[in-house]
Amino acid sequence: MWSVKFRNVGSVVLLGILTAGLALALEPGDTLPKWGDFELEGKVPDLEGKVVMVDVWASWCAPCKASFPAYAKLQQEWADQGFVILGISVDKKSKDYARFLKQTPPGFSTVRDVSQKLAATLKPPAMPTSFIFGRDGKLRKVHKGYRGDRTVELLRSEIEPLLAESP
Amino acid sequence: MIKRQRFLLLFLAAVALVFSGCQNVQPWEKGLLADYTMRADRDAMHDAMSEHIYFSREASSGGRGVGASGCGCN
Repeated sequence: MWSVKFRNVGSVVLLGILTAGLALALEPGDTLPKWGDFELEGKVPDLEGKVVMVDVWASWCAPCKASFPAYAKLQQEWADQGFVILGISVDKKSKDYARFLKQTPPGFSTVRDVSQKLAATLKPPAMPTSFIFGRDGKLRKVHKGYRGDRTVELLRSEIEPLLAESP
Repeated sequence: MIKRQRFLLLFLAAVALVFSGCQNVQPWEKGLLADYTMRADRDAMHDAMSEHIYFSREASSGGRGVGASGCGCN
């Protein structure tokens, strides 16, 4: 009896050890987070019925900085079709965030995830990560990292069909 | 038999204790590693003192960070 109990406890302990630290990212079909549940610095624009790309970035992340001009161009190109990019900065310090924005204005709306709770919910698997949501607010695609033109082409091929969907 | 089980339980507890010290740094937390305070060369005075201790102990003045082969002939 004790042996069976011991085995159960042992299994639970081992499972706990092996799965500790595993983080599951947001998956396709999941809905946009409720922004009000998180402590954000900055204003979230109106995203209702729009195709939204949530881009998780930080001032210390060089590929994030490299991606901004291309993303700003996409935002500009499709703004009238209802495409919005929302940057989520995971900078711990407000002054790092402010200094970066002053030096490198991203060209799209961005907010800072003050307590990093939003990041812990989105669980981006890399920096930067782009989460693309359809007009229905459901997650369609997740992009890890930024690889220049290759990423932009991929984003184009994925976002264009979403823009064609009816609100 | 019970002795063996106790040993296993202790072993598992020890393993759990060791692994609880491990922490994954998530991608969004890596700014901590990029912080200025994480730089090894952030304190010039500390570097100079470490260098002084190094060459005093090793009798190798200029043995680190100075060009040439180390033959002492120039």
